[in-house]
Amino acid sequence: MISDLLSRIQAPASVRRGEVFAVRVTLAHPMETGFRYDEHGTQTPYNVINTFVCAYNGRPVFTAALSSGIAANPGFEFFIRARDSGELLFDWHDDEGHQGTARHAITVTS
Amino acid sequence: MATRFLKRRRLLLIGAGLACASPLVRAQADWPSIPALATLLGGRTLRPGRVTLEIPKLADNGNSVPLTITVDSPMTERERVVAIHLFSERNPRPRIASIALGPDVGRAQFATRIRLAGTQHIVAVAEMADGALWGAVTEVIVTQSACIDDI
Repeated sequence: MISDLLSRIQAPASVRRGEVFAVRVTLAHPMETGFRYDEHGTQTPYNVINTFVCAYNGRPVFTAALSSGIAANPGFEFFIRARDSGELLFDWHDDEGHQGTARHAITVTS
Repeated sequence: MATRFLKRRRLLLIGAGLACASPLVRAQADWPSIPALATLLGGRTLRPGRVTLEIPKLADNGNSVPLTITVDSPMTERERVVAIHLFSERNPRPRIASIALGPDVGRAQFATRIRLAGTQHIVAVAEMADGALWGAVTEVIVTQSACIDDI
């Protein structure tokens, strides 16, 4: 699996069952609007992360359809309720076909 | 004499009722006209309330404006927010983001940073599990717009 888009994921490693925890994600991406010109006067084509998905043990939690209205190096914060130990899987795609993936292990204590 | 008094009382009551109802009516008429928002609604009613849109009133730089959307919902299996949509009035792409929330989301809150091409209204829409639509609108004054060419 190609994973050429960088990211930073912040989430706790261990949580109590039923606890609600914050997940913070920052993705390194220019989120090109398509309205920008370089020094040669060439238009930079539209290229944004159009899809970002976070799944908790295979179940989608946060599925975002994005546009250039999201600032460069997009950051998201959302909240998950801890049910079972397992994995958070992050997956995102941009318009040029690049993909990024990240995993975060979660231990749920009772 | 008694009837006159009652009539006056009734008129007062009607007047009070109208005064109470008018802010709601006004708020409903206040949604900015955004074709993309109208497409999403598809004739469904967007009621004001339950959604809090936290965004600076004055943004110095439209390239990155922090925003938090909070929806008043218990987030249980049956009663929860299933999607949050964000629209801008004047951006070249008015539908900023649409986010589907799964049943494991524990709090109906979401934060990100957005681009704003000038002073405009922002609309946040929350879609509930029962199909109800709640929304909030706020105006942001932008000093330096995004999307302006910076070579």
